[in-house]
Amino acid sequence: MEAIIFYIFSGFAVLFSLMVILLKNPVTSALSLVASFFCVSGIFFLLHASFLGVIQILIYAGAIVVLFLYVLMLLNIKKEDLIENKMERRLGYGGKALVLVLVLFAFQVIDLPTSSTMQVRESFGTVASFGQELLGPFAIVFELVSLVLLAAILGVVALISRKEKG
Amino acid sequence: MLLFEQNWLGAILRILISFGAIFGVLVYMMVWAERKISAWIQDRIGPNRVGPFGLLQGLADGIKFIFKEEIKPQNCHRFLYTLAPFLAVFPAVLAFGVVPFGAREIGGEIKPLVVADIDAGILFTLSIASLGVFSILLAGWSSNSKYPVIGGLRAGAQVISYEVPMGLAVLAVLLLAGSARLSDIVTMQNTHGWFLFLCPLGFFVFLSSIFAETNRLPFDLPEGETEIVGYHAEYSSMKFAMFFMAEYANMITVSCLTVLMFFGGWEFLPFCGWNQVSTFLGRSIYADPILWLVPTIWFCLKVFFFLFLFIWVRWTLPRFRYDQLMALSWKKLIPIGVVNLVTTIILVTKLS
Repeated sequence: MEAIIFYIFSGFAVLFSLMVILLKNPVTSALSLVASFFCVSGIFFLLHASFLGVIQILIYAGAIVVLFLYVLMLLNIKKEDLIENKMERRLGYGGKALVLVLVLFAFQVIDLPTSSTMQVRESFGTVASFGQELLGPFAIVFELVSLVLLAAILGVVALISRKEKG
Repeated sequence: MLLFEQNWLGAILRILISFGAIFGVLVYMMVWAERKISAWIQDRIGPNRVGPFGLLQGLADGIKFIFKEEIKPQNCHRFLYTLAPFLAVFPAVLAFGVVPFGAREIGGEIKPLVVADIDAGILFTLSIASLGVFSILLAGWSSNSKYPVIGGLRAGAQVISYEVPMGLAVLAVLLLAGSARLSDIVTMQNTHGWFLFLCPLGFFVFLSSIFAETNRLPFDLPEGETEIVGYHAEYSSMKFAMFFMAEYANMITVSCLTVLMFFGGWEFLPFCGWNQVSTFLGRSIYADPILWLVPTIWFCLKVFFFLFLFIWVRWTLPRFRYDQLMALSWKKLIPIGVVNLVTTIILVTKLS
């Protein structure tokens, strides 16, 4: 049963990801991205990583794509801008990206353990174990990332206040 | 943790019962209650023609909404225009799936009555609540009309702004409970007293932000059609009604969350849960074939109080102006939320 649900989720994830790049309207592309995130989050839930599944929706769908949508809505893209055929250029960029992704993917596949009896701990994917990992072995990295985020926030504030003066 | 580990029929039944209950009964009753209570506050009678006490008025309204002419703007984005009202209802109903509304003792173990008792329950509700903004933005944008777009951006900004203080209040509760599972939060309150007394500021911040999140007065700018144009200005017929169904479904979900997080969920009184009542009675309430309903009913009563509060506030307070609304969130609620969070951290580290 879990296998069937996995194929449903992953199939739809691929479908929606394709729609992100194939649809002409950027707003529908952004929405397909959300749908794809939902499917990925479903796969996380299937793997008992409920925290990752929830965060996937909270951060990507709930925050980042909303920002995309705000920008797209304020840009006011007209139909004439969209009809213009850029298929060849798109395929050029897309092809290069595809090759890159496939190469990276191949490396990952080679690295996979050959035996199928992987053991995970009972608490795998729960909020508590995730927090312990984050503030235990990965504490320094975690703090560094938070510094980067803080710099981003301060940068935005600095940019806006400069604009208001001028 | 997952539904798949238990039997399928039971899982489907639980889903049908809890979602059927929230949609078939509670939303319908909420509309009726709103009209009756508003009438009572304004010294009117309210609906009293259709059915006993006007109880069938909602049905009549529903039929009327379905048969109304549906006007679609000519240049709207057809698919998204249709999708937006559904996206409004969807998160409100989905978030209800992790709300435990009682407990039962099965095989000597007290288990919460819930569709999916997931480990990150409270974070799940937060993340689902953050999806509500999509319906607002898309409804405004897909109408292809200037005022709804501006209204959508405005309402979207409101929902995003109030998510921050709501998240801060939820974080404090999470720290106090030491778990994100909603049933654990209730158990923790049974032993340590209701979180209302441990972080009253957090409760105040949470209550203010859920009013804004559900687009209720005093924060219901999209509905104030006499002074400002909202995102659903181009909607008509059943699609228009769906935005309001979503509002009522949202109200029910956030009322449940308030009760679970600050008012001890289905437990009896602060410092006196049903376990103490069970020892007083000499038999376990959770294991009894009939008495197990008592905690569930008690939970529903608490939720009804908050639903009443929503209606009561709506007919009491005047509407905020948009700049006041944003200032309240960013300049008042968020600092209060941070202060609450810091005091909670100090409290938790002192206690443990």
